[in-house]
Amino acid sequence: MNKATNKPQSTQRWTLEYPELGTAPLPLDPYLSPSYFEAMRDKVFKKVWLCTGKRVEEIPSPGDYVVFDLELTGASLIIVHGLDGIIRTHYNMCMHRANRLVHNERGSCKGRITCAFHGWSYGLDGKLAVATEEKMFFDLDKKSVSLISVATDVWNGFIFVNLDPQPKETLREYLGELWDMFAGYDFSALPASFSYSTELNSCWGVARDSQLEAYHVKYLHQRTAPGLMSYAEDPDRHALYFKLFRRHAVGSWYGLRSETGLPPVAKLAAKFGQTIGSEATSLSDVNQWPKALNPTRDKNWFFDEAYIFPNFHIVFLGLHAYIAHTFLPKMVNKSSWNARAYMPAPKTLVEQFSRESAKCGIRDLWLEDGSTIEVTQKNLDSGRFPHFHCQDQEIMIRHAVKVMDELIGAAP
Amino acid sequence: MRGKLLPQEFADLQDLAADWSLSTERERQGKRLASSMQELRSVYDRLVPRAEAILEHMRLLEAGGKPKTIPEESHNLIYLLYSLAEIGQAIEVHGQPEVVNGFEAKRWVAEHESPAWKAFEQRVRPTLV
Repeated sequence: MNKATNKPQSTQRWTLEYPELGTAPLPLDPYLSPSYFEAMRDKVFKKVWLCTGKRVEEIPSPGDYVVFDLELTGASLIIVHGLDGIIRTHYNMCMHRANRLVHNERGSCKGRITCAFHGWSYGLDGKLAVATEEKMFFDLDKKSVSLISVATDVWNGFIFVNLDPQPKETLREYLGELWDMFAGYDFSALPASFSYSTELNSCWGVARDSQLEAYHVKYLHQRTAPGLMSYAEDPDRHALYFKLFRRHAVGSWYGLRSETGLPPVAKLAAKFGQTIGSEATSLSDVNQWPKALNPTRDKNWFFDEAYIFPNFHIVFLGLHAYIAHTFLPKMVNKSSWNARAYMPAPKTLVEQFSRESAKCGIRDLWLEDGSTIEVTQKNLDSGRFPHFHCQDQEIMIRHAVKVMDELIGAAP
Repeated sequence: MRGKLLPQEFADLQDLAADWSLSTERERQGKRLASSMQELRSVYDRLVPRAEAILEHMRLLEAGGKPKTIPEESHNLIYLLYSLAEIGQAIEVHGQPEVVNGFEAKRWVAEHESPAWKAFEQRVRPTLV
């Protein structure tokens, strides 16, 4: 690190600081192989803590629930706020004859979860409360019947689940250094402002990688983020910082944002709220930010990303705005993507307009991101693509692939 | 059905209301994508000079504190400005109605426009628009 400017020197290569990563091109097996997919499902998605992408603020009162579908494992899960305040997760599955219990993505039930099929009813803690026509059953011991629960824990308001009936580690152990890293970042003050989802005809890895490097921003997003990542002192570099952990990783990126260069509508919107064109570092003193955010304290800072292996990405756009991506595999060549932006709730109609404009800008940027995913899958399917080239600033992809290899016991 | 009226002082924009005073993002985005650049440009050129006045109208609605309701005409005006946010993307960013080489817009589903999300929003953070 160059101490004078706090910026990396042009000769620095982050990848070389982690020699175990190597520098070779990345093979395609993790992306295309059905057996790799099955191993990933059984040894990772059914074993490690997964961020659902849902937040505690979405279920503020007892009885409030959200549904989280993890289709690659077949699991539909109800995450519910209990009468005792505890957030629990149950399989969305009646223990009578396995019917789905709730069909809405979100809602509120009054202390009971009731199956529409035969009226069996459960407490929010999962215990069977009512088996209708109970005496017509033969050996039903009501006390021994309850919904199948899933280990659930919360980090900074994000709800995590672990499908392993006996998780090998706690969420805190799983997150390691990340557990405390963003203390001081007020996630709970930033409600979900807008959220988009899609189903992708692509493997999970290609979708996930699309949000795991920022090398593309200067090129793919030249329209939606014009000139924002041109680093005049060192034109080939955009990253200020990377740190890799046992499973997760964080990165920090340079960006030159200035509201003065914006066209009329974008400029008007940026005046009254944070948009893609807002200079986040001028909205508050960067030296007061949590240490993990913009760790090099660069004034020309664009964003940070925290990748929580395997499926969750947080992109910090400033002290008062962040984006969360949830990528989930469904089948070897099908995946889903949810992208959400969290920002302060607009307090006035004018701020609401600014938010509307920010939403259009970020949504269109995501449509650019989405443009590469399915066509890449098609090209991989052609059988003529040999391997991925991976430059220094794509280190988080290289790392994520290695972590997955290790967890499933694949040869390096 | 009544036409979509705008407040008196925005009579000059009245002819835009029928097409562009749309209450949902899906409709506004759909209208943007279904329009030619020529149409978008002409609406843009008329709305940009009036945008500050529309914002001022929004400020006045809230001048005496949060209003209980917003007149329908003002709603229509606000939606017209929201359409400008869409049109601005086409004119200022992409140079064409749709995102260049973009992912299919109709498959990028806005969860925040679902009835369940909206009901939740109204419960925890009631908004007027």
